[in-house]
Amino acid sequence: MPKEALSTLTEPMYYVLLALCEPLCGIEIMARVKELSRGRLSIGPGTLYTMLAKFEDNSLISQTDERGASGKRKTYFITARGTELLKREYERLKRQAEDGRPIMEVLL
Amino acid sequence: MSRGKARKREYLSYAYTDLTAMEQHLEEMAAQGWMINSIRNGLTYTRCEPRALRFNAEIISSADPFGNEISPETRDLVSFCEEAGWRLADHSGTLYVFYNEDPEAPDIVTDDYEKLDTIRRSTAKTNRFSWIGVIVSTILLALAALLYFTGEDKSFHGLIALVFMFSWIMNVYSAIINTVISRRWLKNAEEALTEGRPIPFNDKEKVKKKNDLGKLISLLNVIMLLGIVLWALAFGGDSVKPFLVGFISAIPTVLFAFYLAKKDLSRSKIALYIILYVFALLTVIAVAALLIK
Repeated sequence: MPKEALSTLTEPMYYVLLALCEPLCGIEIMARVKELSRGRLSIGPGTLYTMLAKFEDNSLISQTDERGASGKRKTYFITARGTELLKREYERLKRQAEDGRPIMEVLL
Repeated sequence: MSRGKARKREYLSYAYTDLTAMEQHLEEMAAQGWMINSIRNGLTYTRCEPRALRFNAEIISSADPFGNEISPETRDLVSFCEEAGWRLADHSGTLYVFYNEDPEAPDIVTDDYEKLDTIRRSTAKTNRFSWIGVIVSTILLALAALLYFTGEDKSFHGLIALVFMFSWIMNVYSAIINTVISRRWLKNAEEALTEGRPIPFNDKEKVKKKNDLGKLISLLNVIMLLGIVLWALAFGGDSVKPFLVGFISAIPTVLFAFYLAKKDLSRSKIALYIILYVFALLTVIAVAALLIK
């Protein structure tokens, strides 16, 4: 049975997909997410593992370099489908921020 | 607690409701120079230099709740955690304990909703097996009862039936209590997360009381079973009475154990209450036996 595509992303999911615009392994993804969020967001390896499995099931990311005798680690990267979802999410967040700007500028 | 030069054991058990308390306890032990070595059949430690370690106790839903083989999927997850500095100390069923030397490392699971969902799936699996256990022990009890009523050696078959009856009672109590407790806890945990509070894991005091209660119930039931079996052997012949007595006296015994656990009593007072209870129970059984006879 085909899996239903993820239609909305949580904040950690958004940052992980953003990080995977370049091929990275698990530990590198965690570091990159922290860097992109300027230290605000930390993702644990267990949470990341579950998230990557979900992304793979929904064909949003793909793997290369399986762990083998050479010691290479699993590397993940975003697919075309994942890139499309990321772009939609980015546009949605931009629109939300723009819609709120007139009110938030007064409040802030 | 047995003490040796290099090893120590604590007879404590931790469940999915006690993860935070378990982590704190293991961290304290590591700081005192005792490194956790095994979490099966209590906690076993080996001597080490006092270390400031962080522990994470996690429920892994892909793990086998009743075996200790690590599945390929779980092994993948463990490797993932190891790359992030979390090393596996030991595991038992679905409970996996990791440790890390880095005080700044993020927890293994940083999403509370995901953690709760994992616990929910794991407890559902365990509860299903509990009820399968009830069905199996019911079948065995029915066969034992059939043997008793159709067989010739009533003493022997009655004793067998008694043992299966006791086992059935324990299975039913265990299945009911586990199902009720897990549902109530999961509901409270969901409400906590909805209100922006953390998952309400038990603290150390609650875990200690739970362990003490568990030991109390085991002790009372062993005493009760021994008493009934000895009485059945002494009277011989028709063993239907110990059969019924075992069933009926299990109920007040467990209720009494819960009552004792709620009271804040010293060990000597608890021992006194247990002695008085056992004396009272055996007296009631003896009087009932005389009256029925």
